[in-house]
Amino acid sequence: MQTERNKDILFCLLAFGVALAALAGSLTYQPASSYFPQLLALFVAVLAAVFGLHRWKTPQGEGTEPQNDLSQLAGFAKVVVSILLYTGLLMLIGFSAATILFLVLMMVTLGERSPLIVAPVALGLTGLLVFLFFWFLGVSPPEALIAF
Amino acid sequence: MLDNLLLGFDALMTPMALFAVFAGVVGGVVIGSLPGLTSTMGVALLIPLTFSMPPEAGLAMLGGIYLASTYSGSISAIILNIPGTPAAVATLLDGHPMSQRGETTRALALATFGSSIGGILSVFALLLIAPPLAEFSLRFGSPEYFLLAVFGITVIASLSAGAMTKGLIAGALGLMLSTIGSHPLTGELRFTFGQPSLYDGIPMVVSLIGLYSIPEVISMISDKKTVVPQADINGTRGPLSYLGEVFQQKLNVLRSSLIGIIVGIIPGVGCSVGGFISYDAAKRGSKSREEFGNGSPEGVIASETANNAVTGGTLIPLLTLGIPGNPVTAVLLGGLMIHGLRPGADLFTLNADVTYGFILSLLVANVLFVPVGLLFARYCAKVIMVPRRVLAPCILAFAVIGSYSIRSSVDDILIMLSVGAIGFGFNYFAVPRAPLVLGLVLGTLAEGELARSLALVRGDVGAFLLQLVTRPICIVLLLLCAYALYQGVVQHRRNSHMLDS
Repeated sequence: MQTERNKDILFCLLAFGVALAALAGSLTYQPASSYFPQLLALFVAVLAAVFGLHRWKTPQGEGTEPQNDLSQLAGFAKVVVSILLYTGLLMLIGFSAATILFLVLMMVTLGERSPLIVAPVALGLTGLLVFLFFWFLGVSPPEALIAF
Repeated sequence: MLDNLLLGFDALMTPMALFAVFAGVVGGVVIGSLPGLTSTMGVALLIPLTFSMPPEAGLAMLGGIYLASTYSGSISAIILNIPGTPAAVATLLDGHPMSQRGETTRALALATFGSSIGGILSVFALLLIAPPLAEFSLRFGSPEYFLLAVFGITVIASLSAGAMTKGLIAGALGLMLSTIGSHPLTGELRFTFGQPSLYDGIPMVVSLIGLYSIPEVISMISDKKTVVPQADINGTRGPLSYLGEVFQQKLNVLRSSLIGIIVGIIPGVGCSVGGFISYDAAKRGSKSREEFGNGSPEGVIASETANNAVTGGTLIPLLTLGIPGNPVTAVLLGGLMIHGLRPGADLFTLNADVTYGFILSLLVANVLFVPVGLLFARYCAKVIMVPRRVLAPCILAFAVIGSYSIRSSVDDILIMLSVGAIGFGFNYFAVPRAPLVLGLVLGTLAEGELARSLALVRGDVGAFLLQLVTRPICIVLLLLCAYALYQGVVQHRRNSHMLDS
């Protein structure tokens, strides 16, 4: 079970890690380009270390609901996978087909079963996005392997 | 000047010019409210449409888009917790909490009226005191810009009340993210991992979309809570009834407008910084500071008044000196030149009818976006009634295409996802996101101006520090920074004491 204290300590460890990585990466750059990120990395590392130690010494508090944490992490995984799939589909079958497929699959996955809602929303939003971005704003659509 | 105003009025009062203002305002409200669409995009897109129009009509349309889109970013910020434009990031700190407790109409109304008043006051500043303000903007050199960025960064302390250390870490991480890409002076590529899409750094709009929309969608998917009933959407109290509330906060409105105008006349600073600084000033001056961040109407008014006041401020150096302060005014400068108008003294004498017609059209636009924005927002507010299982995929689709459309690059979708992962992480660890945004916005300015300042004194740190304590504007900014930090520490200690007791 993750308490707020444990989460803070984990955050500090992650921030410390990022700072060390940035510091290590910036050593390869010339001094004029590297002093600013190095200063920031040191600042983050020191703050993270001090705050992390402070939280380590404080007593354990109440924990958050483990179900809440798990559902958030599951939601994060769903969003990441869906966006990566959507991006892959964009490059494979083009914007319109990919968007319709993405919207339908996501709505169904999230529990929407009524075709009277899924179909119009998917088609309508896709049409709106095509009109707004590709026709009105003149954005060039992503190139697809298979054109529809 | 009265003669010129009458000439401008004459030029504006044509059906074509008035229609152009209206079309610009409607287009701007729609463009600004959709995350992924920017004011710059809207203005750049419509410039070719203005070729066939008389100059006063064409410029009126472009001005209308600029003003309306700066305001309407608050609509999605309040309703969805996703800022439509960078200018609206400070608005969501209190706007969305107000919406969550059932006060969506009130938040939207306060944002609309605040924006309108801030915009109107900045146009009056443009009309009456443009030349001396433009002269003032020329006094800003690299040391002043650097300290202005530092002052903006001290706002982080205020934004993170209750989690100051985490906020400072978030701000510093934002500054570190801003170092991705080429160095402002040496041009050396840093932290790009060989990816061409990162050579110019992380695009601001893409990072905003990721930072706010991804965590919001994750909350929608994982949160089992029902939608808060919006008592005021179809209730008896209309948005106009909240106008009195804005007028009751005269000091807040005037201070925010002044901050916005001053931030606007300094090229390169931007609407989002004006919003944050004004928000911070309102919080410091408020008798109910603890409400800020939890749905304070003062916070919404402060940020929205300032960010629209910035728009008028940015036009001062543009029209008087030909110096564009942000990407939108750079495109507007192109629009001016296309219509044969050269910024400078001649603009206010030889082309007085067009120039004053344009300025008066901004006044009209600032009034017009109130009914247009409120009507549009009324329908947008119903979006929160849409079931989350339908709304979440729609937001994701918008986020993906919005990110792609900035540079027509699929890589930007992946950048958006990466920043979104950071935003989720911040939510999970209860770290405020606003400091990260501020760091990202100000990082390039701070580092670039620091590097330039040091280059001007050939790397002599002592000489640089001497400049900071001897130049008048630097002294004022240093005092402001010191005061801001002191206030932040006092607030932090007060919060810690309250938590202990």
